Amino acid sequence: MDEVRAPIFHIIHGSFVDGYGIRTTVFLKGCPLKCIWCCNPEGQKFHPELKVSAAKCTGCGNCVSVCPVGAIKLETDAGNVRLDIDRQLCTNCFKCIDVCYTGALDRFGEYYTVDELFAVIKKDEQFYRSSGGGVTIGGGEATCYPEFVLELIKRCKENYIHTAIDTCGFVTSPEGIKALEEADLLLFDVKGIELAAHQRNTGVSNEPILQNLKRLDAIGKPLIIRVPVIPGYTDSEETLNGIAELLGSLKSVERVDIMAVHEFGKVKYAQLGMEYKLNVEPIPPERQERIKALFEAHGLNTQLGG
Amino acid sequence: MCLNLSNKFQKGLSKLRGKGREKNKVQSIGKERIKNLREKMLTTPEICVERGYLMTESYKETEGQPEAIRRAKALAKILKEMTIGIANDELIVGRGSSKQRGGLLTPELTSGWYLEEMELLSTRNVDRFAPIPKEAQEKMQEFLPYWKGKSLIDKWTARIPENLLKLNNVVQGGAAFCGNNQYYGHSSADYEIIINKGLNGIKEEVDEEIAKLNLADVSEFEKYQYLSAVKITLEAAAAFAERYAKLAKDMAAKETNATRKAELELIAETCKRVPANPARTFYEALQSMWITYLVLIIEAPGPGNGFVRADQYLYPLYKKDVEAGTITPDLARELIQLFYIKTNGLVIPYPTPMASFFAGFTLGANIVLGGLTADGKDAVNELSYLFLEAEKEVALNSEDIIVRIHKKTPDAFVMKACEVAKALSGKVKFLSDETTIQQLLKDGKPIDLARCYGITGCNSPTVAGHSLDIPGGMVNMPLLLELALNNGVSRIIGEQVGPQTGDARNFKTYEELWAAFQKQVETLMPVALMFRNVDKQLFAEFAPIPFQSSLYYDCIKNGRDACNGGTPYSTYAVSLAGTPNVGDSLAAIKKAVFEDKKLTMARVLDALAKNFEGEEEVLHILSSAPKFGNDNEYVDAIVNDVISMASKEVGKVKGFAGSVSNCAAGTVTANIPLGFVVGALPDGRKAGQPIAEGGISPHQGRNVAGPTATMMSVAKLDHTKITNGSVLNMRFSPDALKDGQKLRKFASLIRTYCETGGFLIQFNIVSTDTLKEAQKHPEQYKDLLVRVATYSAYFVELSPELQNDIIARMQFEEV
Ligand code: SF4
Ligand code: SF4
Repeated sequence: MDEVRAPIFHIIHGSFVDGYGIRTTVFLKGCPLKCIWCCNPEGQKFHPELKVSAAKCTGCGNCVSVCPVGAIKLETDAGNVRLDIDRQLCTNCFKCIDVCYTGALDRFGEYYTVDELFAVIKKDEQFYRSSGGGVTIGGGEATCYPEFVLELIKRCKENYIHTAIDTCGFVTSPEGIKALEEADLLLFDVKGIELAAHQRNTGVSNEPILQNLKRLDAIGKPLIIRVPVIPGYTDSEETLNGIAELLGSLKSVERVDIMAVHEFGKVKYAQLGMEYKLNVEPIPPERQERIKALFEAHGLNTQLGG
Repeated sequence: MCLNLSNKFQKGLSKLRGKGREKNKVQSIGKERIKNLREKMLTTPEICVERGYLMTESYKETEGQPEAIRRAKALAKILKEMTIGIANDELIVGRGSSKQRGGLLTPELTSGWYLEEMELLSTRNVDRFAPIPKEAQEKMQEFLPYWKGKSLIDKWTARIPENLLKLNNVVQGGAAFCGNNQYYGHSSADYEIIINKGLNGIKEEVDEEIAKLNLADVSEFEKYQYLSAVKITLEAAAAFAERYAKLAKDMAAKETNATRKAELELIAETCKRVPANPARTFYEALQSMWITYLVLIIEAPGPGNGFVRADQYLYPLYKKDVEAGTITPDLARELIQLFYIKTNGLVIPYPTPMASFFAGFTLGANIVLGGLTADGKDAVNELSYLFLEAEKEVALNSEDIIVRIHKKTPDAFVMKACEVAKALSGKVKFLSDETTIQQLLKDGKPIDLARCYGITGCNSPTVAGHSLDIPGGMVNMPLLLELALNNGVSRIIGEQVGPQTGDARNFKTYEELWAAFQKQVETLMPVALMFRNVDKQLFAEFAPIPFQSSLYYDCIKNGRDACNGGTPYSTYAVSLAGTPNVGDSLAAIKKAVFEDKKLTMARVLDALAKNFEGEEEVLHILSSAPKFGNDNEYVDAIVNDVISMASKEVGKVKGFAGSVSNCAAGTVTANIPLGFVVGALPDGRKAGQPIAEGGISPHQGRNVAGPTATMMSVAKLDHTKITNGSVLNMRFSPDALKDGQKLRKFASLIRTYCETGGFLIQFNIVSTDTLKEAQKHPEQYKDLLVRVATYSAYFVELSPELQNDIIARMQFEEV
C-alpha cells in the first residue's frame, strides 16, 4: 500500500509564536500563492529542493563530477570560485549533497509519512499539556496535502493534542476545506480586500480566501487572523481599513496579529536561486502602534507580531 | 510586586508610620547606598596576606599539638589579629580579609605557587588581582617557605602511588581540592542553628557533651580533644564580632553625621549581640549569618558554601518584624541586597592552571528559594519573592539564586523568577523538586529531609545541617573514549595513559568498541576516585573544620568533624565531564561505521589522527550523525548508557568516612582546559577544542531542533545516576520572551522541564555580545534561532547585514 507522504521543510520543537501555548510547528512544502514578500520561499514549490549556501563553497569541485545532468559549474572570477547552478537543468536528485563536505549544498524538504510525523509531534506532548499548546501545521499551504493533514489531525485528536493550521486561505478542494474545519484553531492570513491588488501581490484571487473565511467564521471556527503589513503593497489606509472592517464584522476572530514586514527571508531566496523582489523600509514602531489601534477600533483583540 | 499583604501587615505599616524614628532599628537604606556598595565589588580584588601569615605564625606556635586544636588556634589567631574595617554606607559589616574585596591565602593547601606567580597574578588572563605591593610580597617570601612539604598538596603528592601521579589533571581535573588551592566548600551549614541558638547556645551543648565524657576512654578522650577545638572556634567567632562592635562604637563616637552615627551605634549594638546570642530581628539574623559565614570561610576558604533556604529559616523573624511594624518589605529587600553584595567581598586566588577550571571569582553563595516544606506543602512565602526581587538590582557574581520548582509552586512565583531571569540575562537557576528529591532518597536521605533540600555550589543537592555533599574532580570522559579508540594512548600527550584495549581498527562491532570504552572507565575511574579519597583523607587528618562542624547536627554529639563522617549523611562525588561528546561520538561511529557502513574504523581513526585535515568527507559523515540535544532517541540512549555505566563504577566503592560515592555531570568552566588534552573526536570536535559545557548540556550549538527537544533529551536521562547534580545551559533570544504572553510560555516550558524529569536548568538570554560572538564563530552557535511568527531562521545563516540589523535592534531594546 502506498502510504501518504508530504514534504516537510522544517520542524520546530517549542515554538512560542504559532498559536496558543507551546507548540510544535511543522512546515509543509508547497503553496498556491507566490507572495512578493514571502519569507519562506522554500515553502513555495511542492517538492524538495537544493539549498545552496554559496559562501560556504570552497570550490573543491566534487559536486561538479557527480551531477548527472551537468547542472553545476564552477566559475572563477577574479581569483574567487563562484558556484553556479542551473536550476532549469537541476532535477533535485541531491547526489551532489552527499559529496559536498562544506555544507554549501543541502536540501529543503524531506518526505514524512503521517506515522513518522506524528511520532515527532508526540514527543512534545507534555509541553502542550502544561501550556495549552499543541501542533501547528503550517507551510507552505498545508491543505495542499489534504489527505495527509486530515489523517494527522485525526491522530492528534485521538491523542487529545490541540491542532492548528496556519493557512493562506486559498483552499478550493473539498478535502482541503474539510481539513480547515477539522483543525481546532486556524491561523488565517488576510492579505487584502481588493481583488486586483491581491492578484498582483500573491498571484491568486482573494475570492476563495474571503469566502472560506466567512464560512469558517460562520461555523464558529476559532480564528487568529494574520495581516501582513508590507509598505507599498498592503499598507494603504484603504486596504487596512477594509480588512479591519471585514474582520470586525466576524464573530469567531479571537485575535488579530499585525505582521510588520521583515527581510529575514532574503537569504533563502539566494539559497534557492530565486529572485528577491521586495525592497522596502521597516515600519516604524509608532506606525505599527497606529495600525494596531485601527484594528482595535473595530473591537478586535490585536497584537503586534505573532 | 506579587506580595499579598495581610491585614495584620498593613496594620504593622501604619503602626510604623505612627511611631516615627526609633533608635534601635534600621531606618532606611536607599538605592544610592546599594549602588555605591555594589560598585565597590566591581573593582579588581587585592591579595590579603594576613590570613596566610597569621595561620603560619600560629602553626609555628602549636607544633606537636592535636591537629584539630592547631586548626582552632590558628583560626582564633586570625580572627583576633586580622585587620578589620567598616566601610561608609555599610549596615551589614564584617570582612573576611583586610580588604574590602580581598583574596585569601591558604598556604596550608598549596604554598609554592604563590611565590612563583606573585607577578603573574596581576597580569594573567583569568581571575586577575591587583598588583601585590612590595611589602606584602616580602612578607609572603618570609612565611610561605614554612609550608614546604607541609602543605596538603605536598602530602597528597607523597601519598599517591608514583606511577599514577601523572594521570592527575589528565584523566580528571581538580580531583584533589587541595591541589586546586581550595577547601572543598559546598558547606550546607544550617544557619537556623546560629539564628536560633547563637554561638553561646552551641557552646552550652559542647560543654554538656564534654561533661558526659569519660576521659579514660581513648575514643572519648579523642572526642574531648575535638570538642575543645570546637569550643575555641566558637569563642573566637564571638570575639571577632565583638571586635566589630568595638570598632563601630569607636567610629560612632567620632562620627559627626547624626544619621550615620545612629547607624554605627546600631551596628555596635548588633555585633555585640550576634552571633553570640540568638537573633531577635531580621536584621540581626542577617548580620549573625554574615559573621558566621565569614568565620566559616576564613576557616576553610572554598567555593559553593551556601545559605540555601534563607527564605524559609528567616521567615519567622521577618514575619515578626513586619507584624511589629519594625520592617517593611522594601526595607527587608534592601537589607537582602546589602547581604548579597557582601558575598562578593571574598575571593580565592587559584594557581593559574586551575583558575581556568573555576574562572570567574565566584564563591557561589547560594540562596535556594521555594519548593516544599518538610511535610510536603508549598514553601513559597513573601520572603521568597523578596529574595528574588532583591537580586534584580544586585546581580553580582557570588550570590546565586536557585528557584525550586514543584507542581505545587505557585505560577506567580515562577513568573516572578522568569521575569528576574529575563532582566538579568538568565542569571536565575531553576531546579526540579521531583527529580532532586528522588536523588536524595536514592542516596539514603529520609523523605522529610529530602523535601528540605538545598543546593550548594553549582548543582549539588544537600540537606542543610544534616548532610555534607561534596563534588569531586571532573573525569574527562571524552579522553577515556579517545583511549578506547587509541589502545590506551593519549593523542595529545602521546603516552600510554589507559590500559591496552586493542587496536580499534580491528573492532568489528559497536559492542567491541563499547567494551573497550568500558574497560578504560573501569581502569581509570578508580584512579580518579583514589585521588579524591586521598584528598578527603588529608583534609580530615590535617585540616578539620571544627567551627563549621558546629553548624551541623550530630557533629557535636558524635565529637566528630563534618569532613570526617560527623554528619548524619554525606556523599562524595566525581563529576562526569563531556558525556555528550562521548555519546555523540559513539553514535557517529555506530551509525556511520557499523550500520550504514559508509566509513571503516580505519578511516575514522586515520581522520582523527590527522585532526580531520584533508578528511572533509569523514568529518562530514560523522558530523551528520544524530547529536544529543535534539530529542533523538538513537543518541540520547547512548548518552544515558555512558552515564549509567560510569555511575555504576563510581558507586562500587564507598567514599571517605563511610560516605556514599556518587556522580555529578558538571564542568564549571573546566570544559575548556579539559578539552586541551583531548584530540579530535568522532563527533566532529577538533583537537584541543572545548568539550561540552555544563556536563549534560548538548555540545555547543548542536541542539538545533528547538527548546523542547533539547529539554526532553536531558529530561529523559536517568538523573538518579547523577545524584550530585548536573547543569543544562540553554540559550534564548530575548525577543522570544518579549511580552507577558511569551514569558508565560517560558514559565510553562520551565515547569514542564522540571516536572518531566529534568534537573537544573539555566538560561543564557542572549545578549548582543553573544550575537557578536556568533558572528565570529558561527559553528558554535548553530542553535540560535530567530523567530518571527510563521518564519524561522538560524541567526548564523543570515547575511552579515541582517545580523547587524538584529544586533542593532537588540541593543536598542537592551537600553
Ligand atoms: S541536485 Fe542533482 S541535478 Fe541538481 S545540481 Fe545536485 S546533482 Fe545536479
Ligand atoms: S562540493 Fe560543495 S564545496 Fe565543493 S565545489 Fe561543490 S558546492 Fe562547493
